[in-house]
Amino acid sequence: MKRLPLLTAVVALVAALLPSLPAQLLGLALAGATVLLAEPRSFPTRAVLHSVLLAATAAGATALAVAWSMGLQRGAYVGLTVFLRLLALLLVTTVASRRLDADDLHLLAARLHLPRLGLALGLALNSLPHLAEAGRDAWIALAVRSRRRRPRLRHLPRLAEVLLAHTARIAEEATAAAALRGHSQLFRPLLGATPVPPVVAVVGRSGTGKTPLLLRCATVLAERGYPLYGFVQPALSENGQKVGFEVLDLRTGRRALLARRVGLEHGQHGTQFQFEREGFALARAAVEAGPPRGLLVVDELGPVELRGGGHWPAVHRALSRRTPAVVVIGLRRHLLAAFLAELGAEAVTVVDVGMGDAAEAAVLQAVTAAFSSGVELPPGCTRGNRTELE
Amino acid sequence: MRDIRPWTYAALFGSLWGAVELSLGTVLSAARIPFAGLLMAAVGVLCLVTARRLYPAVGMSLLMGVVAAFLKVFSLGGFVIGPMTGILAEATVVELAMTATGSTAAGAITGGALALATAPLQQLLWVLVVVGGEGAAGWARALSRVAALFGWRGSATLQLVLAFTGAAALAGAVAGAFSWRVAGRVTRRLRGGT
Repeated sequence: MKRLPLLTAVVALVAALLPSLPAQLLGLALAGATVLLAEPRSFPTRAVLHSVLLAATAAGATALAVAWSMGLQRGAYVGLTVFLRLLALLLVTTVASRRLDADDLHLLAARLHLPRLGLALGLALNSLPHLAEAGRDAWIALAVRSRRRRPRLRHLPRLAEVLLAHTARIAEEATAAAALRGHSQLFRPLLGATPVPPVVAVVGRSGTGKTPLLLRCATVLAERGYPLYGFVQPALSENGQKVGFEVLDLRTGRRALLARRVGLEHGQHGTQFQFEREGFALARAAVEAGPPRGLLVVDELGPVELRGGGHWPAVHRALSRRTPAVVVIGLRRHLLAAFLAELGAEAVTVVDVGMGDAAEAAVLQAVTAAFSSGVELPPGCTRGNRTELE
Repeated sequence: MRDIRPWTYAALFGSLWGAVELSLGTVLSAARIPFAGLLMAAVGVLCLVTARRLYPAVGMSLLMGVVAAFLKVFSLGGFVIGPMTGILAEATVVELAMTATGSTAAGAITGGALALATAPLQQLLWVLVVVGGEGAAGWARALSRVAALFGWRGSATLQLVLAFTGAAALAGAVAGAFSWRVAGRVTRRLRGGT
């Protein structure tokens, strides 16, 4: 919408809302001018007639109601003010609906220095077809499952659940895609200008064996004399069920409780777990006490760390101050792209725990290659160092 | 909000809310289904609470409202001020409730109650804006006279409005609790039960 019609529209709206007959007359006149200025070539006759009819109906009904309760003269006056006000409002909104589009709003967001908002609005528009398709698929699936043409009313909560879960998955994919494409307007890397060492990322779903794999690799690497430090998070089990996690310092062998399962209702940070300070303190000590240019192992980085919480402050400090030679991290596969973008790592080796026995060899090979590709062992460290891991 | 995730979650869940407003909302409005506004408000509460439970970031509910209102611009009915202000008002009250309670079930219930309670109040406000104070007073007197014809004397209009708002708030609290429960199931579905 051009500036002059926009100006007359705004003034018309303000004037129409004032409790004064001359102001409302001015508002209607300006609303008419807005229509003429915005649509100089094709006057929207039908839309204007529709607005006049609607305003006249509302004004007439109001005039009758007020006349019945407060007298004929008051009824006529109120009816006239309602007609003028409502007609001005309808004319302005008619023009706005014909002239306003997504590109205008996107440009407005950019002009107001709100690029994130503009990109979010663009993402919302682009997602509409995907969401519509997801809704259709969920509807059909439920209908098939209930062996009817349409799902029953009692199936609607499940339909909502499926659609909402699908929306969250699309949001995660969009996050990863934005991170990979380096949309600097959407994120600012947490590490800034700090150079990031080579990263070996061990990925897999929860409970698939990332921590045992990292423990086995850490044992082998320690025996070979690599200056290992950091921590892993072994799971705690009772009667075959996971009830929590503890932190194991790889250099000193100390352990501390990190999290206890308490259920979604009482969990912290949107998880099922309640977290313990002593676990975070031990993890912090584990990553900050290592030698410079050592081999840092961090298990595991999750959604909480991606939000800047959990272990992230300690890991951030370790990466920027201790400058490890190689970093080995455990994380879930769907968070890989987002974390790599946050780290700004350029040399990355991804090892999927689903590779089985080959995963251990892949991790060891990646670490060895990173050290042998010009990465020096820190002074004073020998290959005879050992750590207690049990 | 330094992390990009609040923006993508707000964009997607706001898009879902807007899509439902564009489709179901337009159909209900055109068909003049009674209490369509309350039904759409309940759908909005479901989207707001679920997104907030999945990613409890301050400001995300408000951003979802902006996204959904943005999509409402493209409604079949055109630039509809009423539903847009309703969407923004609903997002604002849910944002306040969830932020004040730390994104908990209490916030979902409170936010739902406030969101649906604002629906009749918002319509009343819209009537006041269009008709003006004197016109609204005239309507109120006329309604009182009609109520008197049926033997209902006293401050009938105010009682009616309060009763309707109270019922809407109760329905909103139920919607908020239901939304929190569905959000929990969505969370479990996404995290594979771990």
